Amino acid sequence: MRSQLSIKRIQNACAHAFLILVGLFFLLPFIWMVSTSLKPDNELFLWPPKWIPGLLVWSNYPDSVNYVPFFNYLRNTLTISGLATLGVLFACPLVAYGIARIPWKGSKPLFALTLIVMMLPYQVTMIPIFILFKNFGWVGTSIPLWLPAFFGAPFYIFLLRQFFMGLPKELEDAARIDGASELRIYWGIMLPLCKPALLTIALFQFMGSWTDYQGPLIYLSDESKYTIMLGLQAFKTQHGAEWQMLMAASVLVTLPIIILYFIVQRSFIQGITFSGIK
Amino acid sequence: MVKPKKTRFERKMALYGVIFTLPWILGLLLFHAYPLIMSIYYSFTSYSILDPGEWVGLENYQTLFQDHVFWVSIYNTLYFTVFFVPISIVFGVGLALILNLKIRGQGFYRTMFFMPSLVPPIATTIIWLWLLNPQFGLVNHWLEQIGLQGPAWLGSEYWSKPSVILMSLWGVGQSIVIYLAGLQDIPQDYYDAADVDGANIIQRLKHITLPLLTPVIFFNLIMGTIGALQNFVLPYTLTNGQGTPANSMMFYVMYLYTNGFGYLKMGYASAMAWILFLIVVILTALIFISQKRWVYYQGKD
Amino acid sequence: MKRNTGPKAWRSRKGISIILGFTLVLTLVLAGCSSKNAVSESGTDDETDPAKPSSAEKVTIDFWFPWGGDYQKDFKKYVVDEFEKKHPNIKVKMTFVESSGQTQSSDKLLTAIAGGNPPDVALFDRFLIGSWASKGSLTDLTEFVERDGISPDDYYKSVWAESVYEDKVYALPWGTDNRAMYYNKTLMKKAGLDPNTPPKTMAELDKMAEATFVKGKNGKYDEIGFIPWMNQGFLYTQGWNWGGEWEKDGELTPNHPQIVKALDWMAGYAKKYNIENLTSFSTAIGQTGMNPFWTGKVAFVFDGNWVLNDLNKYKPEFEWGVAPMPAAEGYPNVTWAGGWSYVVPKGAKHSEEAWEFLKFVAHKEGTLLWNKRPTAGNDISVMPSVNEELKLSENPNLKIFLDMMPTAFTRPVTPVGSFLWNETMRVQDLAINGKGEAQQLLDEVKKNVDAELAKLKK
Repeated sequence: MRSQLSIKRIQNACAHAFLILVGLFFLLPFIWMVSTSLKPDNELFLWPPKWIPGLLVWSNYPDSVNYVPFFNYLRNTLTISGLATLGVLFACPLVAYGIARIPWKGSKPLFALTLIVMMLPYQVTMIPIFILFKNFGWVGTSIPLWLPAFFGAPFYIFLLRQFFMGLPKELEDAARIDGASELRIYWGIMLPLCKPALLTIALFQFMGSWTDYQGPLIYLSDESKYTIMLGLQAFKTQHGAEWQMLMAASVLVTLPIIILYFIVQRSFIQGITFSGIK
Repeated sequence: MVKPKKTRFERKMALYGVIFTLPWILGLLLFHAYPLIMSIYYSFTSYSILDPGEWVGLENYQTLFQDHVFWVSIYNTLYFTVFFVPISIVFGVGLALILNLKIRGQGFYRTMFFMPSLVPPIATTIIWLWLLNPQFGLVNHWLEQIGLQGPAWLGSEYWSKPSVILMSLWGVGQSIVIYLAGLQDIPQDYYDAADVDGANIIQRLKHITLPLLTPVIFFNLIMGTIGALQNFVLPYTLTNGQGTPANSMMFYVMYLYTNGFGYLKMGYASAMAWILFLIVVILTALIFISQKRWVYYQGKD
Repeated sequence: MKRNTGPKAWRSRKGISIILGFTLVLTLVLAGCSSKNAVSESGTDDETDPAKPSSAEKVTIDFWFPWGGDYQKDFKKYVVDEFEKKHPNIKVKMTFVESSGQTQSSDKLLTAIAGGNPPDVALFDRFLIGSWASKGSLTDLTEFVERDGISPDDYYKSVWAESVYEDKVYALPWGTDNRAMYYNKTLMKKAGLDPNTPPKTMAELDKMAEATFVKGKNGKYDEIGFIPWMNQGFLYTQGWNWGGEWEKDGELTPNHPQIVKALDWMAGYAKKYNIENLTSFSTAIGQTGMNPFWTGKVAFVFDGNWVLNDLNKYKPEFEWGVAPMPAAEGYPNVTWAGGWSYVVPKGAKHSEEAWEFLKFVAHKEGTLLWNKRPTAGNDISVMPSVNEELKLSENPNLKIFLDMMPTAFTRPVTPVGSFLWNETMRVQDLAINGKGEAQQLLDEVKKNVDAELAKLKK
């Protein structure tokens, strides 16, 4: 018993050492970003770069927030990201369940189509989609940026389909015998079991909308409706950029996602327990 | 007695199927059908975005096959895909398993590995250029310490693609999240049973964790392949769209984008897109055929 | 199986009707939006009313520009406000629309034109005028120009030439830049060279470069003398420096003998100093907005006048100077200019008002207002008279650039401009990586651009 315990301890120590070492490597870009955001002009382009600025210029942060209507952009981005996340959370599990767990003829062709629409690079579909949305009268509004989410997004449908396929078949068989309706099986049994997956797609969609650049660029024309990613472009000048302010703003923009990520990963506590099913 | 009941069940299921998938059926028709059809149509025209162009039949496709850079870009893209996708899966699953251990500070570690996905591409680019600089870069400095002569990385036409593969691995945080979510779907009962049988870590991994993770690995394999074939942002920013050195970084979608938006040859770009589409369909089909041999769905009969 | 009559069944029906209802509402929203569009498409925004452009009514023109930074604030303050004061019936709505990638064109402008709702005015890279005009996407301004007496002589010759495609004027030029040689005096001194006599010919440059290359351990360079393709040292630049011509008698001539020589010379550097070591220095850092010259480890570099601003801002810790780029033996020192212009995209709703705006901002009045702003730094305007009035030549560093403007080259105006540019970049990269001979590569470029042109003319 004791030796088992110490083996465990050694294992844990190894895991910690490994994670810190490799993790630091993954943390580098962020550290660099923070460091640049605090640099004075003359230390920006030192070679080799300096990790810790000689003089910490905290004023880069308030400067960057005042440089563009930061909080207005923040609000716009929050609205779009929130709506889009709501959209995929509504539509994607529903559709994925219909494809993965309901035995009907349409499920396979529909799944194939779901994959097919991901296979064309967006660079060629961008213009036709724009023309389409223009005909809907949505250009200049944020509708194209969130409404389609309510009709499902192929990436998440596929992801959730994999999760639904991975759940034991006994689950719905037992429930169907009990006379539960499909919707009840879906809502009451299947969905709760997929909570980590649902949180994952919520995280991805929120992050995707949050950092989306091409979409807002093309569809928004009124600066009062701009998102944060468009705002960041304003730090780029004709032949360069306001690097420190750009990085300061980037740090601020990244924080909400980090917080969201933290919440999501907390739901990852290993193992689900099926009640009554072996 | 049995037969009508079965058809009633089938009919009921068909109805539920349609109801559940209705948003997506509408979504496909509303938002996806038109762009898909239009891009096929464009591929047979000299559409330039700025003017509609003319019907040119198969000319775009014929020109493509004689376009040297087109073939180079196919080679580069396949090279990247073949190496990057498997490496990223092994790397991702490995890290996810470690990040799923019950140890202190796990939330912090998980966040660290997710960080590069959050930082603007320009910051990651600068960092890598610095790390991999053959002259002053840290990586070559480290290699020197252990007595190795580092390559020129992005400056060398042979090392540029491996460099991009290395850099892309930084983005593995996203698939780690998916693997972690997948690991949560594995019933604790299975592990409890394994403990009773006295199974060790390797056996648990081999007989429970990995098999039950295969649906998610399968997802990452398909999406990784599609994504790798459409690899664009990193090589584009690294080489300012030029694909240097010696075309070794000219990836397929980069060349497509240059044709469509740089040279305003959207018809040609659309033809490229549909050839890429064919490649993706073939690869995906192969993966799907293979899935029967290695993907384990609990939900299947 | 028992019938679903219990509360569970009721709940499930309710759920289903919620889903159905939701989808129905969404569909209705869609329909509603598209019918609303039918109205707005006929052109009636509340603010902008092109249906009745009577002179008394206020017209708002949409103006898209691609630069962040202080441009918006400054341009509004110093130029647009003045314009609006003079034209009380025209209001200018400025929108920042980032340009993308090396094409300098904007994906957004392209999509907007494709979708049929472009802005009235756009700040536009002059380099693209040829290809966009040939596709019929820019409004022909010739009539306006003649009517209002705008003379080509008001601008530098080559700059004006870039605004004209097939004898029609498509833009008014505004803002320009050109290239010269920056040299690191500290490194020159260290190498035993006289820091006050920078090289004037290619032969001198080669010699001084050789003297300033410093090898460290492992055969890698600690200091770089000169890399022909660093920063603004494109094949275009070097071709002209070697006396090459890119266009002759209306034909593109990328395989001009002197351009071949230039490419050969560039490849020579790659061979002599080992390309892999050089590339890491040149391309890599350049992509990130960093300038290798600022590291103080590069002796000579060809770069633009805008770098003067950066050098003032980042204050490197070495002495530096500027001189015209060296030329090949027997050829004059030259440079080439790029820059911006104002255009009216095809399909703009208020072309008359847009022209009024162009005439103000991109002619004497607006150009002067803009270039005398306190933050003008080392900008060069496209109008000699403005530069003179602002006494720009009193700034010794800027004078180097300014004096070259009257003879500056501009890139050929052609529908395949971007293609030609990328082709030169492609063969430059191949040549310095030892993949092919200069002559054969440039012959290939000639063949390719001619084929592209033939396809367009078909």
